[in-house]
Amino acid sequence: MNILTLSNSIRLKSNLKLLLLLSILFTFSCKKKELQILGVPTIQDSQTIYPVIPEFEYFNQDSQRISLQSLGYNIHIASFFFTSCPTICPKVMRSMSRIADLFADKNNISYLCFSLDSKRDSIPRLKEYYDKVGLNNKNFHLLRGIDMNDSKKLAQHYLSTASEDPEAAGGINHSGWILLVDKNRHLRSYADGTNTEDVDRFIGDIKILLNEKN
Amino acid sequence: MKQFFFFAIIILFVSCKFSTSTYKSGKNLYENYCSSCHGKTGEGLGQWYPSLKDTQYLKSNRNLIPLWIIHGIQPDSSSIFKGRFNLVEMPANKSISEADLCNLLNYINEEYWQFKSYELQEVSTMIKQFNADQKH
Repeated sequence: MNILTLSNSIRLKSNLKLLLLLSILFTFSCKKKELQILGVPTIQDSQTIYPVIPEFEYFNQDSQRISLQSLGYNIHIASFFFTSCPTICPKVMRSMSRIADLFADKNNISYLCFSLDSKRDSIPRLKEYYDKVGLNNKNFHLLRGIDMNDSKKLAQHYLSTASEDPEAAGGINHSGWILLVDKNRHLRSYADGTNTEDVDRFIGDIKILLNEKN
Repeated sequence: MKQFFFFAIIILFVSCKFSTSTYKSGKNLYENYCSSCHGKTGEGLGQWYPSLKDTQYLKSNRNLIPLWIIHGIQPDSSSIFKGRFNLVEMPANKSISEADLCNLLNYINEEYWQFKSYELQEVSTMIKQFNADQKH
């Protein structure tokens, strides 16, 4: 009896060792980082469903109607801004412009900057901003907002916030995230657009997404 | 002895340039209030957020720059300073102290312009003169 338990425990130990070895091998073979789907999933009919960016349609700086459909459900990178914002927007826009320049040869990425200031940011003003900031990329769209209510709802889908705030510089409070959305309208990564190092990491995530097969 | 003086001068020069409290204060102010639009190294972004490296234009406006920082630049026609590109507002900083303003100006000047440095007395006079002119 005693001998049996001893041999059992030895077998268990060697099994554990094997397991450990396998798991080490496994982690090394899975060096490639994969992007998770962000957001809180719901379970429906025993299927895990992740939130998606809802369909929308806005005018861009050239009065074109831009929707996820018109963009062919390609990868897009999104941020929120307004042209008279004196605080974080210039930094975020600088990052967006840097990313767009880096992937200038990739036609399957769109850059969407949603304006939160429907009162001041008319289409001609967005056009002027586009020209004078020097964005110069046909996949770069500055989108005219409808009203703050609509912007608030949209921002929530992008895990961002936006609100009117007379105390805030420029009158609008909002977050400075830059977000990565895949072909299935799932959020896959985000970065603080005011933080250069974080944006560098985000650029790595875009490359990972571009290499995904589906 | 000669060598000692040589090193002393170098140390003095380096310390004046990089570690004085006025330089640090100016740098701090720049990073908190200016760098978002004008960039970490004064590069700006297109014409919407003007670069601080256009020394020719800025040199010809050396004595107006302190007032721009205080009163801001507003593109509408009724404003005092309309700016060169007439595009976007530069926010006013009416509560900035004269000493802070001076440190900020000298930081920017040292980094990007190399004009004549701003003296506190001189900046103070510019502001008083401007305020007196506005009343008339």
